[in-house]
Amino acid sequence: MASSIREKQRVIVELPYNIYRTIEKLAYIRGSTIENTIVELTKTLLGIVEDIDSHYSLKYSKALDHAYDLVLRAVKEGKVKLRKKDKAYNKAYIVENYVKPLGVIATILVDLYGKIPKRVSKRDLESRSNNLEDTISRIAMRGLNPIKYILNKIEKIKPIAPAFDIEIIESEGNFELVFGNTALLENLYGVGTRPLRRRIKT
Amino acid sequence: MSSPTFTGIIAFKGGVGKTVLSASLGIGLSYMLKRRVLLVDLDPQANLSEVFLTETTLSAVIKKAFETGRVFSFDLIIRPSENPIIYEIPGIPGLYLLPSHHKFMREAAYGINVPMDRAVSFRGILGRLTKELELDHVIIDFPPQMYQYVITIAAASADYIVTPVAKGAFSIPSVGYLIETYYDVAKVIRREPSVFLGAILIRYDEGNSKLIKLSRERVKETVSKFFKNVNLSPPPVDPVFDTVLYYNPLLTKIRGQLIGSTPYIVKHILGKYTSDVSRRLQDRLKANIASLVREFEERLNWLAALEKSRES
Repeated sequence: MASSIREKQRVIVELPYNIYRTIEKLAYIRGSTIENTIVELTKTLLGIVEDIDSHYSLKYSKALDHAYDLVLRAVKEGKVKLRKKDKAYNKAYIVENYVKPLGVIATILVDLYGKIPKRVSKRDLESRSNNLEDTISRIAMRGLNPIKYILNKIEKIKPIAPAFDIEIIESEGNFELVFGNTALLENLYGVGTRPLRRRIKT
Repeated sequence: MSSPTFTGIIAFKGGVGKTVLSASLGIGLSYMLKRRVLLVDLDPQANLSEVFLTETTLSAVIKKAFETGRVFSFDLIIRPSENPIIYEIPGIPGLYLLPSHHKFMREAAYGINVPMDRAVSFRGILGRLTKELELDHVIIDFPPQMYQYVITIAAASADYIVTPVAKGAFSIPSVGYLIETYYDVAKVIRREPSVFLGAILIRYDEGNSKLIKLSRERVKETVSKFFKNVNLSPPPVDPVFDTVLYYNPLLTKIRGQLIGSTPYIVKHILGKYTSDVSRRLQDRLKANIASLVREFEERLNWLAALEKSRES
């Protein structure tokens, strides 16, 4: 029978001499045994690793889960109608086609404004075109037309926009995004962008 | 489209009434204006949690948190992928609390460093909660500025900041220090700082109009001096609220009820104590809180309208 993980495990590790000496000194300073010091050090290190893991698991997976839940909720409430009914409840499809473009928009706006503003218009974005080009070359690729790129992303998120309290106002040659709840998009920063994809691969 | 607001109650100095103000705003908005409000206690000393949780309910909350794997307010900043405890305050529908825990006192003693992305994640979590609980307001009760993480989180997670000013020689200069530090940090981490919604005079005696007038002028002077010195455009609202949260004996005993499930202050708001003295104090408190929250919402609406007109 497999032993419970709660049972104490005895692990024998051969430490390099220098590390052993350092731990010995540390144990002496703390007034503790070498074994206890090693256990405490491991616990502290694991705590830090757990904190980091929690932060990145929010960024890389939980944020997508929450976004998916919001879309499903909006579908149930009738606020959102997805065109392809058979794929409406497919998580991978929704994340890839709707949530990631939304993440790209959130990233561009946070990089440009410092936080997600309540309203963004095409005119306002054009006035920041230099920064916009830099941002887009960083998160996607160089040489793209920034406004066209954003328009393309807006077109993609249109069906799910009400789920995130986003209103898209379009008039001739102009567009405006009105964010009802900017905090909803904060955790989508980085989602669907090149730096994040690269970070996951490495 | 509902637009939830995130307000940080923040002060440089301790003991000026941040908790009393947070509790009053929470109760006023939910009980009197029928809004849905989440109170977030970010103070390691857990003062706001102490207002709404008795020893009985606190142990029940801790037990439930352990069983369901939910976490307290500050845990969310350290481990943002966890799910928070949301405590529904009995007697006042639509008022929720994300409590703090006394264990954070020990952690805060060693100094907690909150990087910017954690603070932003925290705002994201609050954003999700606004959707789940259909909230109109999120009020975040911060500890005094002796904890270095306060300004970072305030700048990242709050749209508006409000500061209480108590009667005292050090309270008014501390408003100046607060704004100075706040705008300094906000400038670095968020290009657009949150709006300073105003200072609220607190614990002044109702009849002492001379002192209230003098304090109001001094706070105005302190705030306008700062904006003039740094060459920033001042917030488009009067720096001091017209409403004063007057001294009321009920507010001095707001914390620390040990037994039962309904908090002491909620009992008073619901009129459970029926003696003549209690009734008089309750009526005074209710009228005071009602006018405070009305002004609070008026200011928010006015700012929202101003923003809309500017953009159009």
